[in-house]
Amino acid sequence: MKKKLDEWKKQYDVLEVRDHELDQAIEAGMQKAVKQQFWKRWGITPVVTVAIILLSFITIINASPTFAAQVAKYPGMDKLIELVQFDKGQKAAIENDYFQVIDKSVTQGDLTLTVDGVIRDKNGLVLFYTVSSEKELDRVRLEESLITNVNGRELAYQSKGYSPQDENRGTVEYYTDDPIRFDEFTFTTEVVGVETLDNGVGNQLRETISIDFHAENTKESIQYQVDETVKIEGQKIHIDSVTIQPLRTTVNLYADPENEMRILSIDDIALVDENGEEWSSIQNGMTASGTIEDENYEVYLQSNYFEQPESLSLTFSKVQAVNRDEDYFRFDLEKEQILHDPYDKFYDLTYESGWLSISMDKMENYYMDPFGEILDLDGNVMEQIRSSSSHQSNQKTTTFNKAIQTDERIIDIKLSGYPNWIEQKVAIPLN
Amino acid sequence: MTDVTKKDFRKNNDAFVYIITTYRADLFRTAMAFLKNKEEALEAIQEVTFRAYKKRKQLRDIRYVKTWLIRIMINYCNDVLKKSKRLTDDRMLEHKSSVDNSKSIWLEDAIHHLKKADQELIYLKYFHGMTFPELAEQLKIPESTVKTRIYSALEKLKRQLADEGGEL
Repeated sequence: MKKKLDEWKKQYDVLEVRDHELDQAIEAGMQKAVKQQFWKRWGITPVVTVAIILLSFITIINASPTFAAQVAKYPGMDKLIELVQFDKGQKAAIENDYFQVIDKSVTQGDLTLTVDGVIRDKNGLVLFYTVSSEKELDRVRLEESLITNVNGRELAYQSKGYSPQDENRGTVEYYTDDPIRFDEFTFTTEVVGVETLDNGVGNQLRETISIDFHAENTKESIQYQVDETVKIEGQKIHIDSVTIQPLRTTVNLYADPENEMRILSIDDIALVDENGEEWSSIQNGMTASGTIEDENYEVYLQSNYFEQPESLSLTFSKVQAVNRDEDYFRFDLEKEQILHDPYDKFYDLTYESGWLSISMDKMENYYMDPFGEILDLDGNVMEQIRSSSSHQSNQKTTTFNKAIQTDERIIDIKLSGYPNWIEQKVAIPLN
Repeated sequence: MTDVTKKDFRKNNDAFVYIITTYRADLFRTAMAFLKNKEEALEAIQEVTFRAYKKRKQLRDIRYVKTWLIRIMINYCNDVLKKSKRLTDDRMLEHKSSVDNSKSIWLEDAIHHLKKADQELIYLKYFHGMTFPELAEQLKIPESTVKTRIYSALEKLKRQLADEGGEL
């Protein structure tokens, strides 16, 4: 027996792995550990490119009296307030009694999943859940969630997002391209938690649980056909339409592909009513989908479906843009030099253990990941196995990091955001 | 071992990374023994770094850090295997494997069927070469108990190998 055990060990004495691969994995684990705070995970269909905003702070919420009264109707659901604190639309849906209580629980093994309720509209479903257990759990989350109809067909979603709020509550959000055509749903998910026992080493609990529920859409979309083209410093943006639904507002617009500048993002787009109240971008979730120069591009705003404004305008004034033929970085990874940066805003390039970092002077509220596709000098896209990026700030600088595995010495990275703006106030009345 | 103190390990990220880096090869070998595939083993290193960082305040004594890390790794690997239910299937699905473990496949399978505490002992003793006194100190159990548990685990392995037709 001892000899066999010895033989077994020897097979693993020589392993083909390089130190820098191990170091990169350690680095990635550290990145994840250090930045894991308040976060959302989004699964997105591969054809869609997206912009996602992550919030790294939690604010105290002031609930309005109607909101508090509405929430008090559902026993034990006061925590709902926290789940919708970043979204005026979802908050208004609850205030206006558009939240549908489900309150169904299923227990499997040591884990109990409760679907507390849902908000649904024609193209979206936000499900509020609670996980409970006799055991003390840590890192509770849902994985591999899916929604099916009575025939077992899976809901074809454009995006799916998990938003764990605290140790045992959260939301799962689904948005679809086509209208959701059924009212009977089955939610099936893996519920995962780590037992807080055994000197912190912990034992993972994992159960698959299904819960059926009924949820109807009773609200028709409000659509404004706009068909206007605006010019900002000579660059054209076409606005097609604005569609307001209970869960979110979709603005269909695109930048003209003939523009001299490449537009990267419209930073302060919002709907504004006659009193100056604003409904701006989704604060913690998917903010846009598609490619900005493509006619199918969509920007998502918080919904004002339940308001009755006398007038409503679509406004914006700050647009990120760079000269079209300068819409990339070029880096020498070996010498750690920036060879091309359109407006020389970045400095201190480092490339170590598979992580690239560059820094810029800190700007209030600006933390947009600048890194898009990675290309070699022949213009071939270099796919990465892991797509991780992060940023951190100190008093003076903001540093952006990206995991890049390559043997190339010189690479180009397309810009997906850049701190350079063209500015002009635009206000389009919606009728 | 090192001059990193428990306080450094808890408070200072560089010290933490230094420790993980010191044991990266031990962790990787352990991961390979369970997962058989380099990509997944690297993923495991990432996840164990993450878990260890989150739990770093629970380490009782910096002298036990290697054992502690290996236990976290074994635990993580069991989670992964449980999730993919590969324990029973992976004899058939060896095409992704980058280790030639054909010689020890039955033994390894039998080890992975032991209960977790016994698996840990077998790995620490025979894979990482710890002695009985070391195990007793690290795991805070009497040496006699360590011996009894290891011998009974070895008996179980023998029996299982005999059952499955492997030679003794």
